[in-house]
Amino acid sequence: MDKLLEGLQSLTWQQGVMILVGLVLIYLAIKKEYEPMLLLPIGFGAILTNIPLSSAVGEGGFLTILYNAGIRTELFPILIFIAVGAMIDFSPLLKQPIMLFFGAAAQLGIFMAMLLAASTGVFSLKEAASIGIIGAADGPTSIYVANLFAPDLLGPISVAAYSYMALVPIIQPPVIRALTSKKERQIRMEADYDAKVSKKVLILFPIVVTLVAGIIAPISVGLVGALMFGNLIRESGVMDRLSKSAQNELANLTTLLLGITIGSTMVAEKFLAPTTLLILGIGLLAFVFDTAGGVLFAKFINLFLKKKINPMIGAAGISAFPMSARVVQKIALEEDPTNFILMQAIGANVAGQIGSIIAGGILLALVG
Amino acid sequence: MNQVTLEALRVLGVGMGTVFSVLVIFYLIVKGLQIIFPPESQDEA
Repeated sequence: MDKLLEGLQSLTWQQGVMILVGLVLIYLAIKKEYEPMLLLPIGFGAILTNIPLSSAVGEGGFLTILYNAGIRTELFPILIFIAVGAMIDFSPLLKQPIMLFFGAAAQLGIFMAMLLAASTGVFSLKEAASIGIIGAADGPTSIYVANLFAPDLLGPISVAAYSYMALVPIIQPPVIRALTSKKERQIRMEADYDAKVSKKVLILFPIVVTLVAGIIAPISVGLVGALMFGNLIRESGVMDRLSKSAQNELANLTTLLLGITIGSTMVAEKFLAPTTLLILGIGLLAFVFDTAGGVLFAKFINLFLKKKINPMIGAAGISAFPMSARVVQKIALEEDPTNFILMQAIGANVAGQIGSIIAGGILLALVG
Repeated sequence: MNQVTLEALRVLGVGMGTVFSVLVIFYLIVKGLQIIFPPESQDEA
């Protein structure tokens, strides 16, 4: 009988709280559909880890085996990058390469959040950089950097990154509205819907980006190279079967394993600390700064342009694809039901995907 | 201001500058590629 009650007797209040946190994540995934592919496995992983005397973690536990094999080695984020690369269509960006600049400006949140985290005096520079990378609005990049710089903070950083990505439609609109006038939000932008991109450009783009990024920051080759390899598979036109496998089987399987393994890092003693609240708070501000950076940059370059850019496009320069572009289009339609800026917003959003991964690589190079 | 904050400030400046510089390079590359390989009717996306 004692043996059967051993689990209950070993249950601490911290583990109880973490099981509740896991349940909340599962609720958000199912009921609210907030990043369900990630939050549900993360939530369940958190429960499995915090059940007293759980055999899922520790020596021989399958979650520990997965962690050592897939997270500690960076294998899972890399596989996810290949899958994401195979999913990305760069043509909206290549048709309007000027959008690349918004993909740069909207990375401000990464560095501002890092500065905020550093200024608390609680975190080392590497930990601050790991917290800042929440602003990449890109789960695998956050996991990749956090695992290298601050593996103990991986749980809260991953949860913050994925939760805030899901909350982009709630986080971005007030920031956009606060920084723009109604008149600015009504600015129309001409789009050349017939613009074409050569197949050769689509094929050469991932190769050249890998070479340039790799030469500037060799430490980023893992990140950028995997993403661009996936994209090259897609654009080559001769690996259709593998491209589809990367987009479907590889993406689904790795996402599943990544989520539940990240959940296993949410151990009560590590997660229930004041630093977790700080990380969640600074992570939220990272998304705010990202949005502000993009919008303010658009307003700045408007000072020099005759044909003004709708500054909301800047907010779509974050990596959360395609939510951010949709948010921008939705606000544009609210202001003027005949104003369509989705094409430009998608271009900026794709630029954000490149910008975030480049920013992650640069952060690794500067802080590592 | 502590040492970590100062270092973070430096990373902020250098980091944002480098991100912009890299994306400017990408912009120029894309423009260059589009000049070298203009879209053709049967070879376009």
